[in-house]
Amino acid sequence: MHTELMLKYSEMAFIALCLGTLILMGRKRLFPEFPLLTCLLSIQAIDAVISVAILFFRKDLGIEIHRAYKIYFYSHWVAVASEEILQVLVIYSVFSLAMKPLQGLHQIGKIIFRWVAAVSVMISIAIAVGPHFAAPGYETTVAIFRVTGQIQQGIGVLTLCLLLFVCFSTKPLGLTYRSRIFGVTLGLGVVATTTLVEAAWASISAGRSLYSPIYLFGVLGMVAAVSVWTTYFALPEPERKMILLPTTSPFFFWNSISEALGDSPGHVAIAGFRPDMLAPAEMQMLSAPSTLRIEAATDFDMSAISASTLHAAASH
Amino acid sequence: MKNNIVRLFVLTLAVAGFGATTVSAHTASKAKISATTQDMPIPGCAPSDPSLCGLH
Repeated sequence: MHTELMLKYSEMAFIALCLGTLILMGRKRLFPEFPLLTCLLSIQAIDAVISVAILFFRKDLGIEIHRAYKIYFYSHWVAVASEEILQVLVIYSVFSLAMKPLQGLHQIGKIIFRWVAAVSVMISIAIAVGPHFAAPGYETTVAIFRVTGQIQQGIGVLTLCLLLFVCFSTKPLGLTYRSRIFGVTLGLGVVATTTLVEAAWASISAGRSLYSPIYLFGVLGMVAAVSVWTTYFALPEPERKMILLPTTSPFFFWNSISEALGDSPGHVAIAGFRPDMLAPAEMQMLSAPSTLRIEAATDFDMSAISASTLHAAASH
Repeated sequence: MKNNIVRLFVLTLAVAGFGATTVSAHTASKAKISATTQDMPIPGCAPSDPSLCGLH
């Protein structure tokens, strides 16, 4: 079958799958659990509808070719930017859901995640607008290409790291391979691998048209990912297991340390403290125990004296 | 057995993804622009470009 025709049918299948998954998620009331994934799927479906309309039904719709390309160009790049932001947020939300039982590690992971995201974005922008930015022939389109390419590859690697972590830590996280959290991560992993392989393929092939086989590979990867999500959302999810960890488990150990790291610290006066720095009420509070002790000691002495006097009188 | 199949699949995905990153990082140093890919075909030419990336 011709690549163009295959691309057309694959994109249509992708739209159908996206809509099917959204309907399934709505029926199973999964929107509150995965709101960002819902947004991501909706944007991808809208982008795919525009793509199919412009690439395959432009003549039927009666849109002039230059105008059609402009519509596709701007709508697609807006969609790409939104998808990249949403992908990062989806990864973060999946990480939060997976780490729910281990609050300490979740807290420290959140801090690391934010730093990694910020540094990755800064490096991507720096690479894109680096020394070549002022060079002749270096257009804004090329800068957009570089930024999105770098960010996408960063997101892909981050997703695969998350997938590896969730896959090999199911027991300490109380998950199984039938859990929806794992299913969503697996789907994201399929997307990430497809994107990274596609990027490698694209980097060694010259001159791409909008109907290139590279895109067919990308759409098929997305179809596979959405199929994984549909399967996991359609099947009943097993309850999250009770987490039983040995006391020597590194998860337990690092979680305890991380929990302690999150506590707000107390303060100690080391030097330069004078009693007149205290308020009268504070002075009263501080001196109250010692006053009570003196009184108690006095009472004890008095009773001891009277007891010894009585004992002496009796013996005489 | 099933668990091992899932783990193997995940490992294959990871190895393929990381391997691809190495290839694109190697070629990106030679290429004029870095490869950008998405699920949908990318309009990589500027709107003023007469080729319109092969749109017909």
